[in-house]
Amino acid sequence: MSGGRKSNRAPNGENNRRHDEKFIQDVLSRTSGSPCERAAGLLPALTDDALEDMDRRLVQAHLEHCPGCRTLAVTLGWLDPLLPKMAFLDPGPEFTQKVLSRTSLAAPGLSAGPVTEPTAFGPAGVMDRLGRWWQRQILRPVFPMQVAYAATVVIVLLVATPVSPFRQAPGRLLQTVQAGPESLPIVGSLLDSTTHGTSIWVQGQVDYVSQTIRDETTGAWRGAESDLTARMERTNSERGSMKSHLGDLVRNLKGGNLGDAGYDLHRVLKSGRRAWALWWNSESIAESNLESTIERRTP
Amino acid sequence: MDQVELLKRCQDGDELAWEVLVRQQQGRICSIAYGYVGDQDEAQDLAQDIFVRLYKRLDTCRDAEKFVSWLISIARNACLDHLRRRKARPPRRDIPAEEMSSLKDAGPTPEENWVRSSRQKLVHRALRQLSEINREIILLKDIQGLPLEEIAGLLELPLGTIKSRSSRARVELARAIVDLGEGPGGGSDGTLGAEAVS
Repeated sequence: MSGGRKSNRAPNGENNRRHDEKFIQDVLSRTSGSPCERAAGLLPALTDDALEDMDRRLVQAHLEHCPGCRTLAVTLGWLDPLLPKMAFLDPGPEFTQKVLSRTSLAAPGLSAGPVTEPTAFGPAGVMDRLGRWWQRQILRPVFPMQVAYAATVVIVLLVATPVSPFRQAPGRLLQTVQAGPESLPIVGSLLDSTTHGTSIWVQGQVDYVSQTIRDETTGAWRGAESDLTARMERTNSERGSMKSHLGDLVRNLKGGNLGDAGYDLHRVLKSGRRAWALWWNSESIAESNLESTIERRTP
Repeated sequence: MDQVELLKRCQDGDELAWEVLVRQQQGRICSIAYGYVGDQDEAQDLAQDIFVRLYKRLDTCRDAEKFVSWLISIARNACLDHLRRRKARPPRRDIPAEEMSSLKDAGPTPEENWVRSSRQKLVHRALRQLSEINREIILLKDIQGLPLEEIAGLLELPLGTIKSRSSRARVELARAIVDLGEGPGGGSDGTLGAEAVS
């Protein structure tokens, strides 16, 4: 009999607990609302052990009664140490060779097989060594920048040194540009000859010039047309992205999801900026501009 | 090995230094590429492209101390360019239904070959469910360990937004894992959920 009582008590205790829980949930739903969102917001800090004592006790008290949040807490508990371990994925042994074959001196055709030192002596050996040295120089990533720097220095020395024979060159060039091409002796003499030519020759020149103008105009028009088409094509992807982000923005605004809407607005502006850059520059220039902007922003 | 010296030697065209750098960073680059594209073969090809891009721009890395951040920013830009091109590219043809079923039964997915741990597979599946910004925050902060300030610079968002988003992103990821039915106690290999919050 006592065993029968015991078996009846457990379900009653469970029923009482469920009843109490339902009562609490009813009260919360009619007052503050469900605390699960707040608890979820504090769970990362709980797993990081960064909660104040009172907050930690409140969250733990909630976890005792909320299986959903408890599941979330346990998941966060194993997730936190796992994520940093995912920073590296082993791509297999062949990957490195594939990369090296696409870069550096290991590229096929540039240095197939082991590097052998030149054995010849005399002028042939010197030329061989010089060739190898030059090959190594031009394949260095920093080489283009060094060449540009050296060229700038040479130009400055040529046009700015008092004893340089090219010292007057920039000034003369400027004068020529300002005075027009007829200031050049050879062009001037050609122009003069037209004033002494026969009327037939003049007529022929006029016809020729008119024809040239017509051809140039047609060519320019076609060029402008193809340029416009090219600009439309290269901005097509970005305009598409902008439209897609705009759609997301409208959806999130309608759904009241202001956080995501803010991000969508950011993406719309970003796509717009890129489309603008692509419209006015070639793709590579636009890309490098954007990346340099990003790199500038990186402290 | 001294990272500053290694980078300088790479910039000077030392092939051995470049090989060491590739071996050192290939896991990171593959992880980033996989995090963005979610497909092993595509990620491997993309990772190679990232290294080629990196090699061409080695001389633009001014601060060797910030090499990893610089590397991640280049990798991220390449991934976004790739995704943009993939989005713009029209599908080549429709795959007939019968081919779809044969593709589905064609053995383990690339993900299963590359990612060994069942929990890591689960996290990658859950990452696909997240919003774009939350996925990037998880990839950059929690997986790659970038400081919040640098993430804010990369994503061109205020630092405060990144801070507040960071915790929410982790909760969203945990929810996605639970929603996948693989939360604690629900793991297919019976190992998930064995740990409790310490």
